[in-house]
Amino acid sequence: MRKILAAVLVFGMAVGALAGRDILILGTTDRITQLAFANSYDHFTWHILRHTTKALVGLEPGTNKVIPAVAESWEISEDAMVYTFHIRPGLTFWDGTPCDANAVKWALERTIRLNGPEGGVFLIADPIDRIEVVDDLTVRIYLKYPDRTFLIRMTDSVIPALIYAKAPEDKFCETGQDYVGLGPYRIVEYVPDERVVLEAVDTYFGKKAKTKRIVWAMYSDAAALRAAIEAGDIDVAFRTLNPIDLVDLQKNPDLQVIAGPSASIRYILFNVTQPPVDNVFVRQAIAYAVDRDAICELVFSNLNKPIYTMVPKGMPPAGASIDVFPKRNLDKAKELLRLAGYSEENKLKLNLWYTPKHYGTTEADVAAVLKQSIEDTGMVEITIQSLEWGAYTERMSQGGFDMFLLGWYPDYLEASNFLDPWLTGAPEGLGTYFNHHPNYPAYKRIMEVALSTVDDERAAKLYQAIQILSAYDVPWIPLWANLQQAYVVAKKEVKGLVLDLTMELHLDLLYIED
Amino acid sequence: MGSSVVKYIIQRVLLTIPMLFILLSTVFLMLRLMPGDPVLAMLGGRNVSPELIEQRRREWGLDKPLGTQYVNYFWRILHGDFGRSSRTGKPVIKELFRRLPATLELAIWGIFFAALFGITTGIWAAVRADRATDHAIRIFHIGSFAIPIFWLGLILQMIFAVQLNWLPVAKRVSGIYAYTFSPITRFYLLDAIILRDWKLLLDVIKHLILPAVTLGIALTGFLGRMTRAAMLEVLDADYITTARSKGLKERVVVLKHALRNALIPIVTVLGLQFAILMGGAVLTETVFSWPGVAGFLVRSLDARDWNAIQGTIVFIGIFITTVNLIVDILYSIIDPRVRY
Repeated sequence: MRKILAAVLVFGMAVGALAGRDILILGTTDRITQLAFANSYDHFTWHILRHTTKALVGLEPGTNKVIPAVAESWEISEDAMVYTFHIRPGLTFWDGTPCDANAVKWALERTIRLNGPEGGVFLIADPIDRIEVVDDLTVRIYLKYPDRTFLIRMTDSVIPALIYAKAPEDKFCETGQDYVGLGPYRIVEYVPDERVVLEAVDTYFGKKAKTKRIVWAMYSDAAALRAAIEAGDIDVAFRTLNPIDLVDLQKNPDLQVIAGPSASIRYILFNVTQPPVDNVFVRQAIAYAVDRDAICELVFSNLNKPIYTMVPKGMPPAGASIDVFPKRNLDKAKELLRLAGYSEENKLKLNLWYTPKHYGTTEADVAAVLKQSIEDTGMVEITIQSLEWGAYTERMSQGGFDMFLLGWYPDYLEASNFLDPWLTGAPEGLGTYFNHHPNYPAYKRIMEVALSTVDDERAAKLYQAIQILSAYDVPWIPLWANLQQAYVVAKKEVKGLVLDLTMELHLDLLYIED
Repeated sequence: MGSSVVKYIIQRVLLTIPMLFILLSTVFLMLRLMPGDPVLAMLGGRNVSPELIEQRRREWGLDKPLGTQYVNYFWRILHGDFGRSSRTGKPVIKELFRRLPATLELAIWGIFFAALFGITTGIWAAVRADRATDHAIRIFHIGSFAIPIFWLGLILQMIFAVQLNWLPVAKRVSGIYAYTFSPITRFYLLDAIILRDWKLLLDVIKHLILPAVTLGIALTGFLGRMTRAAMLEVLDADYITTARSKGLKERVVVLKHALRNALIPIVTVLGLQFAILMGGAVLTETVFSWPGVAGFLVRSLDARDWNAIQGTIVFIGIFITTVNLIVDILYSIIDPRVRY
């Protein structure tokens, strides 16, 4: 009897220990805005929502390869105008509702109809003309214009996400519990500024999540997040620790610091209509003068890497990214400044604008290093100016900056999303006013042709052409790849840390190894 | 309660009206004077259509003349409508009431810590006046005044959480309880007792120690100095000499006869320190990721969430005014020396 009791006790303890491993606690300084698929547009909210449902297609974890998700296969018409998706048979939402062609059409049309003003629905609403149910398991999407990026846009499981049943038809989801999805997790609790709790779904059609419950604890700042991971209060710290903290934590034997890929970039923009930067020689001179290495070393402890084009390496289509901006050359910068009519006696006077908090706490240091590197020419005098984010975006869209710092996190993983917005997409909204540049029609035409081709090689060459042209016209100066935000710090026993190019952690792959 | 007390209470209540009016007007004007457009602050950084910006302005009432905005603002607040937070999408008043217990719990324990250490050290210093102990305590009191709260919080985190691993770094409860614990009153300490969950209670206490000490430390110095001064005055009084000459033990003289009288001004001041405490809570809640009202204000400022900023400042203002009013009224009832 004693032996049986002892065995029961040991078993009970073992089960208890295992149960303790069922929860993984992640810390972040990010916040959720709205748990609405059709009305949110920020990294962390999307990160959470993405784990609760699926789109027709997805991305292979850690890569940019399009893989089947709800659709097991698809076809694209020659003219890139018609996309046909074949849905997996037998697929159901969490509540058992079949996920067939009608459900897909309903979900997509609901999102497009809602088209929240604070969301990113335009990413699919703009190109989609109509959605047709061909049969129970086939749905066909007709576009208004040829768009080679459409398939990659459909990989994101937020905007083209498939949610159903409880989803309110005429209003946005709000609580995280008012819809049913298809993903590996469901949201069981959300307390703003405190935590969001996810629980694994037993009926998920894919590979089951490795950890039953995920708790995201929200910390007020990087210092608290760092202390929490060091003290062992949390298992994983993800977004965003200060560069110096990451360097320190790399030396901690109890922790692992993993660097993921990142498609986030930082750069200088010019309003090409505003003197003195309306002079192309001035812009070119600054492109030669900026010291990317100094920024990366002095401000980011070399966690970030210099870039010489806007399109990140490896961004599809293959070969699209090409380094076009020059390495630092002060002699060349001086030569160009002389051509623009400036000298050591008659210095170019210029503003450098930045916003102090929106991109983290390092922005003032970046501006200081940039000022120094440009003033090293001896022919430029930079005045650093800053504005809080609200005032910054207002002034930017009114064309009120000559030279200013900005950052980009892509809407979808395709080269055009790193070129189009400032040149032909929203040049006034983003402050470049490039639509007033004499070469604007050429850029616009190249972009249109590139977007309308399904031939990857041709598209890549056209994107390369835009980058080459941009190095001459210099509406921007690419500075560094924002790798610092793609770092994850975890306890040694945490396994399955896979980061995507979208800077997302695959929560369903995470687990604690005993 | 005499008619003079009632008159005093009415006068005191009426006085809060212009105070609140000035507070509300100041908040309204300060936000309008801040640079930058709040709509663009929320929507900026991407391709935002002018139609959307106009739509948001209309929704937030920012398209109306300043005078109309001012009248609407007062009207809404009089009806308990603080608007909707553009950051969380929820009514501001709901957000504030959800967070209030966290701030109150922290404030109560902060005051408790301050009272415990401030009064104890103050008595000790007074009893040992002008000796080495007194000098050391006075240095401690001045030091605790001077230490910046955020710095102290970080240092305490580093020592007790990161290095010694005795206490958690931040937040109100461990992540492990996030799923199982459903708060009843949102005063976690009370909730843990009601639920008879002793592990949870221990966890909540552990989470409370560092923030409460950090918040209470500035008040400790203030209370300590006040206690010392009040005790020194009382200890010189004739009735204390009488008590001593009657052969009473020094402990009884100090704690029973001297302290009781010295406590009257201290307790009054304690109630009035709530405003200072709320100021300290802004920093403490930030350092310890404490999900209270003050932390909400900081987040709202970062996000330029106008409704939330306005609502929180007004809410804190009304709260402090009410606390002060209650303290004044109670004091007028307890101490008849207060003239009306």
